[in-house]
Amino acid sequence: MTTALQKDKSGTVAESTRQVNYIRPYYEVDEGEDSYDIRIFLPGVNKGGVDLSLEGDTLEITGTRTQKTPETWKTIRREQQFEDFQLQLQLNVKIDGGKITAKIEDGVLGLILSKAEEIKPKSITVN
Amino acid sequence: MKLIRYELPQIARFNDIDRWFDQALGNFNFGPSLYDQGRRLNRLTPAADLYEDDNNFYARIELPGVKKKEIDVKLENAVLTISGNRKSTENEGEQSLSFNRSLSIPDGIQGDKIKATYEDGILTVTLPKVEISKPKLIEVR
Repeated sequence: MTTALQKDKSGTVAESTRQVNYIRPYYEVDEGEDSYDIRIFLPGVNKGGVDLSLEGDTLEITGTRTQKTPETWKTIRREQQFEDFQLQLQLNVKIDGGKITAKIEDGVLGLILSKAEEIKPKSITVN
Repeated sequence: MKLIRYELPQIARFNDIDRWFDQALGNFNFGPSLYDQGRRLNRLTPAADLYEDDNNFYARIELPGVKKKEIDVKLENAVLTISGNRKSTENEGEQSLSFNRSLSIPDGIQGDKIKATYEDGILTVTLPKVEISKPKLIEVR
C-alpha cells in the first residue's frame, strides 16, 4: 500500500517538473495543387528530437533541442533561446493523415501534407 | 590595478525586440499572419551567442535552412563575420536570402587555429585562446 502511494507521488513530481515552456518556431506554408508544403525552422534539433502528432484537425510538432551547450561553457553574451519548440497547426482543410511525409535537414523540418481526395481539384470533361 | 574586460555594447535592435515579444507571447497560438511573414523574412541578422571556457571562446549562430557550403566565416581585426545565403526552392522557383552577422571577439585568439562546425542548423566557431590568456595554476613552494 505504502509503496503504491510513493510511486504515485514520484509520478506526480515528474509530471510537475517537466518542461512546460516552449517557443513557437517560425514556419512557412506553401499550397501546391494536391499538397501543402510546410517548413518549420528548428535550429539545434535533429531527427531524433522531432515529435509529430495528428489529433483531429490539430497537428502538433514538438522539437527537442539535441544540441545542448556544454555546462563548462561560461556565457559572455546570449541572444538565442534555449527552450524547446512547439507548434500547433489547426488544419482547416482535410488532409490525408496517412500520407504525411517529414524530413529534417539543417535544422529545418519539411512536412508535406497530402490533401484528402475529396478536396483535390478535379477536372471534369465535357462530353 | 584591475583589468576589466570591455563589454560589448548591448543595443536593442529591432530583431531583439521581436525576440522579446516571441519570448513573452511564444506560448500563444496566433496562427500565421501577414505581419509574421513580413517581419521574419527580413531577419537577416541571425542570433549569436558567445561563450568561453579555459581553453577556447565559442561563437554559436543559428542558421536554420542554410547549407554548409553556403556559409562564410572570416576573422579580421578581432571581428568575426559570418555571412552567406539561404536558398530555398518554393513554388515560384529558387529564392535566396543573404545574411550577415559580425561579432567582436575578445583579444588573445590563435587566429590560425579557428575551427567551425555546422550541425542541425547551428554553426559553432571554436576560437582557441593563446597560452598566456589561459588561467594557470602556480605552485607555491
